[in-house]
Amino acid sequence: MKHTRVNCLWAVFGCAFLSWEWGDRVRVTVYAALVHGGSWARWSVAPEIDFAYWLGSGYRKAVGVAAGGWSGVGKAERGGEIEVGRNEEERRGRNSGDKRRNGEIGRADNAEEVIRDGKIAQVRVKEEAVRRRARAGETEEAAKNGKAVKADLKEEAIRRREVVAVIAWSVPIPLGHAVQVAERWSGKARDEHGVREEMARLVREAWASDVRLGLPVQEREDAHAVKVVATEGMASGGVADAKALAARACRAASLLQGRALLSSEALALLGAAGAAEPAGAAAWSAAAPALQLAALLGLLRLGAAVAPQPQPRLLRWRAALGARPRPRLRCQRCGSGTARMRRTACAGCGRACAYCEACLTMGRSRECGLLIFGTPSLQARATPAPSAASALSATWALSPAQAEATAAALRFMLAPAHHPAPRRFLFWAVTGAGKTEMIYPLIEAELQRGGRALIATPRRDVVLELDPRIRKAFRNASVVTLYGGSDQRWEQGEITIATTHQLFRFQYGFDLVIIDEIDAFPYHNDPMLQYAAEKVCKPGGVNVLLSATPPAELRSAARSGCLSHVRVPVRFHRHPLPIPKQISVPPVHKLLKQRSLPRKLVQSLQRSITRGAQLFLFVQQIREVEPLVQQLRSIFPDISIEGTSSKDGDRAEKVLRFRDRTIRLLVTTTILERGVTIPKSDVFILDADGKLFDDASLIQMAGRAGRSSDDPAGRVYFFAPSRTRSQQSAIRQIRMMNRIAKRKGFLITHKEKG
Amino acid sequence: MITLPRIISARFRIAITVKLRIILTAMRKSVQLLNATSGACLLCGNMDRKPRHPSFASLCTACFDQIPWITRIECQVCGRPEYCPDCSRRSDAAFIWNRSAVRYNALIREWLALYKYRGHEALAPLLGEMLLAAYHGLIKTLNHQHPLPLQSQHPIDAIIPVPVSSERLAEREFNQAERLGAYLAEHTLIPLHNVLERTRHSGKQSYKTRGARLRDTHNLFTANPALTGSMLSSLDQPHIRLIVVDDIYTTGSTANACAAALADEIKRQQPAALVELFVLTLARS
Repeated sequence: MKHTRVNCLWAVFGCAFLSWEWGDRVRVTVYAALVHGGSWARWSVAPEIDFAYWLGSGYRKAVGVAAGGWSGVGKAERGGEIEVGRNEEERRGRNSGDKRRNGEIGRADNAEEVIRDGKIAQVRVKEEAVRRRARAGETEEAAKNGKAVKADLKEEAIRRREVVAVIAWSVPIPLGHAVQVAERWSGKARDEHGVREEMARLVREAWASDVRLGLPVQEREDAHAVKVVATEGMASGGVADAKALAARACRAASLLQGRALLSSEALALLGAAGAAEPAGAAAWSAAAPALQLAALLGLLRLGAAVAPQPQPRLLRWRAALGARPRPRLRCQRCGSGTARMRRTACAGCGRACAYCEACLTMGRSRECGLLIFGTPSLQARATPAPSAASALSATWALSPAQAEATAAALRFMLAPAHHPAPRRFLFWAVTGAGKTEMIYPLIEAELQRGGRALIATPRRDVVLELDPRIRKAFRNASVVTLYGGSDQRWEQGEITIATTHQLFRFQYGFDLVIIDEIDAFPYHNDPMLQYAAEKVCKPGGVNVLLSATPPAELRSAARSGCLSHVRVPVRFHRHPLPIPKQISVPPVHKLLKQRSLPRKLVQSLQRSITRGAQLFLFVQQIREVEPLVQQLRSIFPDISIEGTSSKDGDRAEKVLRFRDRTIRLLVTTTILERGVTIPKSDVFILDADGKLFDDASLIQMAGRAGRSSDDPAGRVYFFAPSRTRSQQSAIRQIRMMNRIAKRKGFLITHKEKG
Repeated sequence: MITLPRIISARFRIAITVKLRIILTAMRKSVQLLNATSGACLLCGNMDRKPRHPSFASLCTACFDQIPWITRIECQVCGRPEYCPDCSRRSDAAFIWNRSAVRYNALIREWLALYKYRGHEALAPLLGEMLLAAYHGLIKTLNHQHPLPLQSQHPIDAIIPVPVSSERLAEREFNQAERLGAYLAEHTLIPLHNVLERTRHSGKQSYKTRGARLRDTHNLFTANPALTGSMLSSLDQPHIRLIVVDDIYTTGSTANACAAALADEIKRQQPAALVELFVLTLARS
């Protein structure tokens, strides 16, 4: 045979590597610095800046001064110097408690040094991470934790020492490999020779791991470790440029505060703010030095978008012995693990690197792609005193139940934080309780103390609906609305309203994070969105969860006291929730087959029609909608009946017609279980025993009835051949809320009704 | 289906067939369990249990049935399924035929956008398989009209993908035509040669009118002399058949420019060679 299989395989992969010259965008230079008593390694997208920073003595001073004197982040940090010092004191006081628990030692003792380095925020975040790790493993292996924390601190100390020599790899290598090298650097090498050896070994092993995975490899044979020599340019000539670059670095850092962006997104953001050239290859090469300098100054963090997962604690001894790490990757943006990674030949870095399939819709996150994390601004803030419930109800026109719940949330929010991890607070408010009104005072309090607030909701139409309401309530605040295709994409505001997917673009960005419908479709069973929701909150911030039907784990956490929460058991109009009536009828597929509807169902429908209500009729299956509509039309020829489902293109239009009463009866699936408020409506749920309707879903559907104060007693029916646990549980939860409301005296009295 | 010898009585035959079927289903199910990808459809996520097309196992039956295959060709030159005024107007076609797998409708546009712009590279095997179907169609016609000389191993000697500009490659991190060509190369054992180069970065074709496209593509591509030379020396025969692979055929200007550049370079290097150029595209709009 003329063409062998091997030939063709080469042909398949070969072509990706012809494009060597584009590599610079996603290839980075890996280098190691030798310090007294050890060494450390990192990688850089603009190595000349790193070399000047570590080797040119005048350079580091110049950029430090320039960054400190700049009126952006640096100044904010410096302005808060005394404040920070005091906080350090406080923290030290608290640490003694931590110390007792975790066996940590002298962590915050070098406050002055920290400030000098201008790395306050970074160090704090890192400390927070260390602590969180420590807390997570508190119960299981406190001793080991102590060791881990000690090791981290030792590493930090080595990083602060004066650099003696810098040794770099002669050619840029793919980012994925560079991350591996930096991660696996042992720091044991004490001389130049040792550093060279270790670097060559680690780079070679990185390529070798590709070979083991069966990936095509094109390594440069002549690559080697070289010592970087300090040049004249670094010491003197670069200083003037350095100041300009430092100013640009600070500008970029302040624009990227609290964000987690891919390099293309960061460029777009900087471009939109006029801090970078419009997109293109030139824009990146112009922006890279500034970003790299900002990273060196600790104002930013550069990382790979898909990076190796840290080794599990139980396997760290293997790494300590120099064993190869397990090739497990994690998307740093959405938190997805190896299962969602796909390796393909990449023209960018020239190897087969992995990308994350889970968050593709937000732009591709790749192993060789940069993810740029802006450092959160952590200024000390003045804390207003929480307002009393009575004052709240007067200023914001809240009902007594709403005011009481909001006051409790405010007390929680404004209480001093005892640890930097975000605190969670659950608003367990019944359907139609007026959740939006209740979050206004929280946002106002956050704005008063100079913080930033975020409202995240699963659906885009809810974002668009909230936008004018929030803008009206907070006329003086800057409001940013984010959703797919929003033109405010790169703006920063005091209040941000966003769809959940937009949260991937933030990290430690907000002091107050309000998450609407935590149990609804995208969050529920989606660890990716939960990860996003958790990481957007700043250390020390508050995460407020809103739900009418919290998922079981949140309910049990609330019951056991692990999760602070407040219940709002009554609707804003102060009437009790309608209790569902259970009626036994055969399953829908049988009804459709026998072409007649049971008398009980027809009569109750008739009663609702005659009282002039709008009728929701929920079914399980999309395929049952149309036949049922036909059958109902023949029974009730006088009224307009329509059906809709997720596959219906005219859904929005039908909902509008249902709202203005041109459609009287709407047959639908669970897609309309939330977010639709129709003033005078009754709810009929067929096949209420089906497995698609869990208790949360049933409560939400039942919550469509009796929403307005004009018709507070809507009717709710569960039609099903059998009584199931979820139906019973839904009815029990509705009854419980009504009971609590009655006990607390939130319900409207007969006298008030007049 | 399972067929058993006649010696076994009818009753037993049925019983054994049923049992064998159960065992086979169980085996297939357990093999599916070992599979890293679940049975969910690649595009709609549907987990139906209907038997799937063996070459398109990643698609559910509903999605597979929606593929707008080109089954009947109206224009023999460009493989269009309806009357084509373009090919009769064109006087300088550098390629003999184009064959496309599917019509470029809303569904295919969505799939290609998912693949090209979103970078959902998991679709590559699926699209490659569609292109493979078009390739078989091309070979069938070829055999019918020009029976192969006996000494030739493959009906086609090399696959040449249409290049993208370096800017686009840097942005997208892969060349969709090259990936499609690579899939074809892997499954037909025909070598892939990346000999074409783009001389300049022209904007997206999809934003342009027909006239602008025809004007823009003039001299847009060149064949790299060194790579072409090495391809010709590896082929080493007087009669060469090449396929140019791309994702979409709209006016044919890109394909024609590529074929012309290729033909020019081969003529310059080997004036005696007889070159036949075909175009294979995924979608015909």
